Parts: sequence; structure tokens; C-alpha cells
Amino acid sequence: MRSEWTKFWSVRSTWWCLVGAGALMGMAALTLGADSATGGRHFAATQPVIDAAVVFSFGIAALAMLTVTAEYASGGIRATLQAVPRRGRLLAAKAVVVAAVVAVATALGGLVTAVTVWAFLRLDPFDGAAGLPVAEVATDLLKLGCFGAMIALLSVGVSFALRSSAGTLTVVFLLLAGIPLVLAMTGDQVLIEASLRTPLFAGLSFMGSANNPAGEQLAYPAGEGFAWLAGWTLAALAIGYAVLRRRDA
Amino acid sequence: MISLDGLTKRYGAKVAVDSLTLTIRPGAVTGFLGPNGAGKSTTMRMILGLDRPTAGTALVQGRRYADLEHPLRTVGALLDARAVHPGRSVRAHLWAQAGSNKIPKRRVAEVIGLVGLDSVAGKRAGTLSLGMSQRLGIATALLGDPEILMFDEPVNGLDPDGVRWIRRLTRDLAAEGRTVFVSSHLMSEMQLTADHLVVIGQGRLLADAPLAEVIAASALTAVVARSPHAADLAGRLTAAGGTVERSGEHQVIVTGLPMDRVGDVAHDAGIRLHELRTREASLEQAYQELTEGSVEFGADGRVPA
Repeated sequence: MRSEWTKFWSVRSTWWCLVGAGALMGMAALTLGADSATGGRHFAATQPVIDAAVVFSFGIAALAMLTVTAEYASGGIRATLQAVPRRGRLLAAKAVVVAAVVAVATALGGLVTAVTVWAFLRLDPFDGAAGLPVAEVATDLLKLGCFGAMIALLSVGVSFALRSSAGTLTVVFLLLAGIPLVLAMTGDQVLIEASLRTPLFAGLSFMGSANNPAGEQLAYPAGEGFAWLAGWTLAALAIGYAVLRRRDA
Repeated sequence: MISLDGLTKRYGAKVAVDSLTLTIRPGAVTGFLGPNGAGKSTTMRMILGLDRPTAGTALVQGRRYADLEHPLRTVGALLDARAVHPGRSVRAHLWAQAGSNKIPKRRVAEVIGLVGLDSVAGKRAGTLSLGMSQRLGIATALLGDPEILMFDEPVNGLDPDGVRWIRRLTRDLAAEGRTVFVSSHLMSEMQLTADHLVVIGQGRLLADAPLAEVIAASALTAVVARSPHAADLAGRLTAAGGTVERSGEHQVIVTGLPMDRVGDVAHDAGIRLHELRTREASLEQAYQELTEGSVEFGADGRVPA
């Protein structure tokens, strides 16, 4: 685990991804906050941050992916497996480090962004549409951290299964955005319902997003959203583990 | 000690490693030879648990690699010097490796000094020259002060100083009683470094014998005798079972008889010898014969003594 921690922080791509994800979060949250505010509603400043998950989750996925695919691309995975030959232990160490860092980073980034949104919406045209109710903000930040960690783990699982950056990025993009979009476009009620159970929308439901591509509130309870997202994440990790164990490094 | 038992790796229909059974002993440098694609790297990767054998087992100190609690402290390996994240510094790479095996950080500084990378310890691995990368790979292998060392083509990309350094290092490691298993294409280098040789071709074991035996078994290894009665001597040596070739008026070249036997034959016949010596084949020549399948082997794959 110490080893994964060292590896995580000792490459510059980690910092670039964190900065990138943070920037995406900030920009998307400000835009979505302004959009929600023009609807004349009042909401907690963390609300637009949650809505912004549609965008910043890709930054998280990329960060988590690189901790795995960069090792395969450089061949460093062989050094890693020489040091930690037990596949389960390696996967667990990587998962714990990545999930923990992403959870903390997402929550912290969420806090900073929420305060920024709050300050921004105090400007004249929006007339203080966003508030900072402590209890609600705290729960939202917890949920954001949890969501970030799960998206990261989903990406780690897919990365171990596919090993290449391009492949992983494609699959993660399809899971988060491509597949739900196609399902929703069919217009079929069953498929639309299904599209809302894909990882990203399940996460939006879990966090209680109010302004997203699927409309306002998602039409099923937050607990169910959590269950779907957790299910996707576990499935991805299980497949990743199976490939890591079976296939030659 | 590394023990392979029926170790086999198949990729589809192609057999990369074909039931290798052998033991690599401590206290000696064992050279691992074979043409490209003979299965050397695959064998090493299976020993390290990177590739899963199709059949058979590879044990290090009697245990499977994956069952070792802190494998870097038992086996140090240099497989591919370039297999390091290019953006990570030399020191961070070693820290990461050390951290996973509870190796103290002070050991990292030690091995950096040992391989002479002090001046580039903070540089990113991607900026190192091939020779420097090779030194980093060796530092990684030495990190856990392991009993077993495996080097795949360690002198690749090293300058003459580096080559000499590796030669001395491998000799020293073996002298300390460690198991040293080195693959190389460079026969002259092997001849200087190895005590024992394992030769494979198309995944099969061709030879597992001391260096001296492999060279002695070569058809080009011969006894040269000079005598004023060369013709007489030639006749008697042929009668004794040798293959004799006259080279000049007073000289014969004998294959198939050891030097002391040639001396005895001459003595028994009262023939004066002015010179008696062995002409050794180089490892290169011996290896060529081996891989061309031109030397006969016992059923167990060993070079007959």
C-alpha cells in the first residue's frame, strides 16, 4: 500500500488529472449553477457541484485509469508484480489508495467549488440563489466523495481488464455516457429506465442531482441509485481481478 | 536455488518452453543461452510468476514465487531495464519497490550508490540512457539483498566499463554463495563469467553442464601433439580410438581422446613428444554446434563427460 501511495504521487499525470478534474468541476458547476438560478429556484451551493458530475467524473475516471494503464504501457507492471506477486493484494492496495485519494479530493474540491458557486450566485443577476446550509452541504460532500471513489474504482476495474488507456477510456465513456445516451434516444420507456441505471445516472440519483441531462430529479430513490452504482463498480472490479489473475503479465 | 520441474509454456499450438527440468544451484554463475525465441525470457518470467506455466512448476528456494511474503528479498530480477514508468524518478521508483517489501529507505540510497546512479537519483527514469536504465534495473534487483539473482541480458547497452562492472558484480554475488542466473547472447562474455551453462533451443534443454564440459564436448576441442615421429604416432592414436589429422610434418591433431591418453599412448610406444597441448574450442563454437544439433547428447539432455 505504501508502494502504491508512492507510485501514485510520484508521477506528474496524477497532478494533471487532479487539476483537470477540479477545473472541470468548477467550470461545470458555475455554469449549471447559473442555469439553475435563472430558473428562479433556491438551492444549496453543493447542488450544482453534484450536477457537474456529468462532466468531472471523466476526469476522475482518467486519473484512476492511469494508475493502472500507465504501468502496463511502460512495462512497470512487471516490476510491480515482482514486488507484489499476489494479484488480490495488488488490486486491493491500488483500489484503496486510488479510492481514498479520489474521495478526499472530490469532497474537498466540492467544498471549494460550492463556496465559489455560492459567492458567484450572490452577484446581482442571481440574487443569492444558492445557500450554504451546513447539514445539507456536509451530506452532499460525503455523497460526492463516495461517488468519486466508486467511479474511480469502476475505472480501475475496467483498466485491469483491458490494460490499454485507449480501450479503457472508450469503455468507461460508453458506460458513463455513450450507452445511456443511445438507450435514451430509442424513446422506448423500458430502455430509458435502463439508461437511468447506468453508473453515472445511478450516481446522480444517489447524490440527488436536480439539473442533469435526464431532466430534474431522477425518478427513483437515491438508495436504489447507490445500489446500481455499487453494483457496476463491483462488477468492474471482479472482471478486472479475474483478468489480472488469469492472464500473463 | 531455482528448481524447474517439467516447466512448459504453450501459446496455442506453439510450444515456447518444453518441459524444462533442471536445478540452478547457489554459489555459481549459471549462464542461460539460446537463440532468440528459444524461450529464455519466458522461462524467467514463469520463475517470477509473471507468466502462468501451462504445465510443470518453477520453485525458488523450494517455494512458488507467488507464495513468498516479501519476494524482492528472495529473488532480484532484471528483465527489461526500460520497464519503468518514464515519468517517475529513479529514487521514487526504488522507494515504491522497497515499500511493498518492507525494505528500509536507507537501502534505496545504498543501492543507488552501489550501481553509481547518485548523480541522477532525482531524474525521471524516462530521461536515462540505456546504460543508466540498465544500472537502475540492477539496483532494483539488488534492493532486497536477495539470495537469487536473475539478469536477462544485463550487459545490453553498457559501455566497456559497465560490462566489466557487471562481470565483477555477478562473480562477486556468486562468490557470496548466491544463486546467479544470467542470460546473454554474448558468448565471449559468458565464457568469462559463467561457471555453469544451461542451453536451450526451441524451448528444449540442450545442455546443462559446467562451462568446461560444454567446451570439452565440442568437436573443435582437440589435442595437439608435436613429435619427430608424427606418422608413427598417428597410427597408434588411430588404433587407440582417436580421430587423427596430420597438420604438417611433425604435428597431429587428435579428437576423441583426452590429452593424458595421448601422452600415455606416446609413452608406451616410446615416441618422443616435443609438445602436447589441448586446443580449446571457444564457447561460441561449442554453442554453435549445440544449437545446430551437431553434438550428441545422453538421454537426460546432459553433455556426456
